Amino acid sequence: MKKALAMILMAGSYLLSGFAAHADKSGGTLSFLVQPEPPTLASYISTSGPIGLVMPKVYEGLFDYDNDGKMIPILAESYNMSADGKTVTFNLRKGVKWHDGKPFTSADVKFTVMEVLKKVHPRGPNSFREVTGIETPDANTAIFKLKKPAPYMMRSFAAYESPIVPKHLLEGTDIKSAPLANNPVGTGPFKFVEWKKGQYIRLDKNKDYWQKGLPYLDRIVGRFIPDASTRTAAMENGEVLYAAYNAIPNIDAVRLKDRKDIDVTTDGYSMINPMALIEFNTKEGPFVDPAIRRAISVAIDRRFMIDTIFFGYGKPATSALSSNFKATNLHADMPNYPEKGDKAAANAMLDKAGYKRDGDGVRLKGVLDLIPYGEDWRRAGEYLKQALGDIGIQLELRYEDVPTWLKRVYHRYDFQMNVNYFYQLPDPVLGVHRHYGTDQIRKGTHFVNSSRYSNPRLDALLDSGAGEPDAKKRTAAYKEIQQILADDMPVVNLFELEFLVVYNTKLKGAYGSAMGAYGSFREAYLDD
Amino acid sequence: MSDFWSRYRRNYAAVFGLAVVVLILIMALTASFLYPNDPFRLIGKPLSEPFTNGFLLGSDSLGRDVASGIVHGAKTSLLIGFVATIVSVFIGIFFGAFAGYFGGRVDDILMRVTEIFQTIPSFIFAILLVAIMKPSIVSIVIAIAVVSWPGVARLVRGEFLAIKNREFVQACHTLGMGDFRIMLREILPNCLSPIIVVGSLMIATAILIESGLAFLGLGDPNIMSWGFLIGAGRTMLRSAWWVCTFPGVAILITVLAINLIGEGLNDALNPRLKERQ
Repeated sequence: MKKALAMILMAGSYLLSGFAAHADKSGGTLSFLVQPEPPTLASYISTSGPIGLVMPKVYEGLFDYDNDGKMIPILAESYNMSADGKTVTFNLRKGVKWHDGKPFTSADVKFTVMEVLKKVHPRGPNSFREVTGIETPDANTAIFKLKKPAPYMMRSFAAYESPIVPKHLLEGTDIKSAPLANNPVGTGPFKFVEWKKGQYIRLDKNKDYWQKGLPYLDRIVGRFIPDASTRTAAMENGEVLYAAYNAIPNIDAVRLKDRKDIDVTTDGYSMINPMALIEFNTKEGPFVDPAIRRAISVAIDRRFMIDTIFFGYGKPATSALSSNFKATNLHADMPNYPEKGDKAAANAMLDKAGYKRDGDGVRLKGVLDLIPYGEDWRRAGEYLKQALGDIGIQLELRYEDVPTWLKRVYHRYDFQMNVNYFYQLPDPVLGVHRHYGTDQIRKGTHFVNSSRYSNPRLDALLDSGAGEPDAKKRTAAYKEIQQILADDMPVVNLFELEFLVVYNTKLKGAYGSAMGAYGSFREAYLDD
Repeated sequence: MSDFWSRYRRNYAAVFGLAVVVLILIMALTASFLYPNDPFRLIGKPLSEPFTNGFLLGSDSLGRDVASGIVHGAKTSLLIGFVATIVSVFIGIFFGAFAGYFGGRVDDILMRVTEIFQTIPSFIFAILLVAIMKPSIVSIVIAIAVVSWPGVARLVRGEFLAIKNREFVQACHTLGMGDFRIMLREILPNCLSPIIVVGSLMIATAILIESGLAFLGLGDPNIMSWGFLIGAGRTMLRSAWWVCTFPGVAILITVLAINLIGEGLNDALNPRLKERQ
């Protein structure tokens, strides 16, 4: 009897506390992991990952995107595109103030796009390449004038990709060295307070945020913890509540998932779209013949790599484009991308192409470079060496430090095949064209067309695909692009990486944006 | 020789160490018979526990046989240990002999150079060298040799200093023997015992440095070694203990055994200890 009474009491208090928490979402401090420590806070100059974790809480974009890719109005309330796609009018939100009290106007948007993003941002020149000018008839209207229609531009307005910055603090200064970099003043739900080097970044609630009632949290603290097992321990004892971009290694995430208070999700990376791949040198060395590259793609067991190296987090690639582009009807499944790998077929392809095995069963020898970003990639290299050894391609693995590797692949082209991963981003124009276009053979620029693959037919298709406002015609253009690439294989895509977010179930409302950890957290709250 | 062996035999621990090292040597030499497959071969279910799925010591995250890795890794570890030691002993003898024999300005210069090397923390220096040269078995041997010769150089210098004024050396001088001949034929054989003892201990250190480098991901990615196994398994220590543990035990036993041998050699070769018992 006593037991039953105690249980009823417990249940009652549990219900009450649950109710109370739901009634009032506001208050509380969110500590989360920022790994590694960001080099600066100038998200308008660098797209480096850790900057993206912090700054979208301070700076905002014109739009955000939900998990289905739909646009959420932020600093712009709506937009209108003219029939020819060359004029886009943004109606900006009224009554928005910068953290220093000055009003936000269309002049800020014009300055940000024309003077900052188009000039000093790594991807801005590409996203806004068709923008020739911005007209500002009044304080709340910005009219973008385009040379050619640029449908992909509409996917790049999130705070991480295109943060809107205050004109009055940057105009007339050297933008690359302006003091705003490490004393950011934005319009976002959180204000920058302090950055204790080596320890944390603190952001406090913006009490004058334009959306009444938001944000819920009083404070956000981004912690820097260099050691992986210490990070895991901090997650386990509730010291930090949120960790994205594999700050917690997959092996630990899989273990933590079984706890009641910790959960794991792969949401929040669809706009980033990371793809693991092999780049080939198509100009010299043993992999010049597309037949060999096709056979390599066919021989690889993508499922095995995902399951054993990345603990099941990933999706086998089925074409040059990520399956996340299915949402915009650009992705099409292609041949030469078997999920489980087919060594017999690969052997037959090489036999047919005339590559004979010598006495040791070796058809040809090569060197495989590995992206020096940690153990997972070494395991991937070890797997590839074995798998390709079975079809007579004998590989030697090379694992160097980051600068040496970048120089080798992107400055000197002194490589044969290279395991790497690229962000495909929310539109192929932003993330995929850079691998394949002839104009993207840019010696010394990182993460572009290092294969030196050049195909005039493909260049023409990429061009028409980029500017095509008609959705059906765009789909057709990208289908042909994928067919050409599945045949020539200058790059063999391996699998779509699924980064993880490990989070404490106490934290709610932080998962609504497709930008995930690069989102604003304005609707995040703690449910104690 | 029989005299030497009877003295060595008196140290039971040293005999045990020798037996263990011989066993490991046999294991390394017969690796290709015991496990004919490439140790990097993915031959079964990943992360199988020991004694399951046909794996004696379990399998690692890709389904590679840990036992096969240990047997093949023994070859690498011992090879690197021996070769790096021989190289560094030669460098050490060269520096030490010249410094000790000629003294004066030569001694000053050579010893200052030696001290520069001694002031740099050896493991960090080794990491730096391998990182610069790109990890391969040759660069690892070079790195280990470069960081471990100063000890030998100082020892050899001390021995040469002590012996060069002895009467038999002076007799050689009076007979008109050349400097190099005296160094090589007369003095060096007289200081071989301590060099052998130090060298045997250096093999153990070299194996440890190689394992440490491979653990940090600076091993030759194409060659199986014990450090590689530990480095590859350390992230899953809490869920798959066997991947790290067995190669760790292998390193422990080998290094211990080599140290015991060194001790035994010291007892057997050091005339001053002859009457210790």
